[in-house]
Amino acid sequence: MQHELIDVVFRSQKRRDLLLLLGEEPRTMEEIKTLLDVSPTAILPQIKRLTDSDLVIQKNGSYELTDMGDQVFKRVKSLVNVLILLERDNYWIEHDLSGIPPYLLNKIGDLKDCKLVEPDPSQIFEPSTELLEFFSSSRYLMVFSSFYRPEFLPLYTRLARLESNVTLIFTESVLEKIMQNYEKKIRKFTTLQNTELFVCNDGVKLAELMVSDRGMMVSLFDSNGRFYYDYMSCSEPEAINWAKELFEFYKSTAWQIESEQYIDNFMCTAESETFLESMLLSLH
Amino acid sequence: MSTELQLIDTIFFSDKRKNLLLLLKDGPKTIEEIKKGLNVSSSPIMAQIRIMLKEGLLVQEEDCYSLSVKGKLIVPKMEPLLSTFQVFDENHDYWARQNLRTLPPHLLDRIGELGSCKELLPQKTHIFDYPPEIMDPLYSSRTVMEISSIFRPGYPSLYLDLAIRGIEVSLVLERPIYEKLVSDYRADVEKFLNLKNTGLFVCDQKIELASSIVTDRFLSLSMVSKEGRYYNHEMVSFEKSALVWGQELFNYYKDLSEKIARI
Repeated sequence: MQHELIDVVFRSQKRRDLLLLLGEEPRTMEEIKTLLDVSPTAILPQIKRLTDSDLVIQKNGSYELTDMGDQVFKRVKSLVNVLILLERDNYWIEHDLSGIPPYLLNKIGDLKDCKLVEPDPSQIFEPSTELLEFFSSSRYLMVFSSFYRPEFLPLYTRLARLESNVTLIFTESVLEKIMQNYEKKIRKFTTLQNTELFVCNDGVKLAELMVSDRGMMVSLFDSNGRFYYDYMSCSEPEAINWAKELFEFYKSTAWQIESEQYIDNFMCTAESETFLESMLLSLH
Repeated sequence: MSTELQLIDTIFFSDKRKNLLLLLKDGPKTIEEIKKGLNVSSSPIMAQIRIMLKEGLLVQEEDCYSLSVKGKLIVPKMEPLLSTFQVFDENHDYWARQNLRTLPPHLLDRIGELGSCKELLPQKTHIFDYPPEIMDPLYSSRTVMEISSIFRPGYPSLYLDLAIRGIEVSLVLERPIYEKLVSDYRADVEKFLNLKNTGLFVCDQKIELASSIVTDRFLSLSMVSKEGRYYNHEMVSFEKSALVWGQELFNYYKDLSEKIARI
């Protein structure tokens, strides 16, 4: 009996796909044929192997997982998601993941559908119109940024005026730089309804994170702390939820700038070293 | 949705590779430590190490091997999968027959923590009692906790006896079982409640399991089948992770229950 389930699930890609498919919801033979793009003669022996192993049961003309099958499905899904994530792109292993708390690293498979977006080298010093457009019609927006993107300030204000909730977290250096160059805009932003502004210490191991009902984007530093203007982006609900949780994590470590007086009192405690780094990132 | 996933072959279809990944989860190891830990000789394991270095699952630093970032993302997902599969494989027919949803969902998701289990059946002469294999560990336990939705005639005297011997005994009983105990064995229940090292809790919600005992020595589960049928049996594990799991199961029902101070 040893290793029986490993063989049942992993020795055949068809069985694995079938298990993952039925884990979502029960399916008829017709649906299985279409969704897995297989012929009945190819899939029937695999279905039989899964039913013989008590993982699948036929009920009212469709196939569904048993309790045991559901447990097997959950374990397989959580491993397979991570394997897909790693096989699709080396982004995650080439970047510094230390800014992601362990409970979210444990769910990093939720980001398996993320696509790498690499800006055209000739465009990297231009405002990111792609991101601006993507988030322009958001019903809510959460932004964490450890670099300076002044081109986004009008979007934040506009969304807030349209009654979307907008929550921003900036590092101290970024907020200071915004204060130097766009004091009026950021003051205006904090006076609007539906807005929240937070500030956190410099040196955070997360370059940028944006989440809205449209989708999410996350960008990380590489292992030497460098940033390359590329980012991972996805519109799947699991990825959006993951990004929201990461945002909440950073919000819980940040402090809120609650009114204009707080802005007046805002003192940058950033060390000159990290400040220089953030200047380099914000040459535009 | 179909992806080939080459890595599955690498991590699952060689016991050496699979065990090495699990070994390195606890930290970097030298080749000597790996040989000792897995009880293997140099050349076969080196061949596997080279495969995994090439796949980027391991990194080598001088004479130490450790999991790469990739390895560190994958191995924590392998472990619960392998332990769940092992639990099911060892008693496949049993788990296939049971209604697993009678376990609280958060504990069902951690069923792999039960580790190696054995199904014990009572002898024909003791058909209503616990199998003899768990009576010894029961009496050598320091604490005994049980949740139950079934009545065994041996209960009142057994638990009173355990408590009189100084063992900490806590019971969570479904309301009808408690009422039956009080009406049929009132004196024993009063004696039990008068002891300092006892706790009695009554649960008004349905306890879907037949029963579960957890002590500092073992965990035992008695479940109801998918058709709602019950036969006297105990699925027993002596593993540490199972004891933790069992205590959580006990606490889950205890928190839903009312403590009885006196009848």
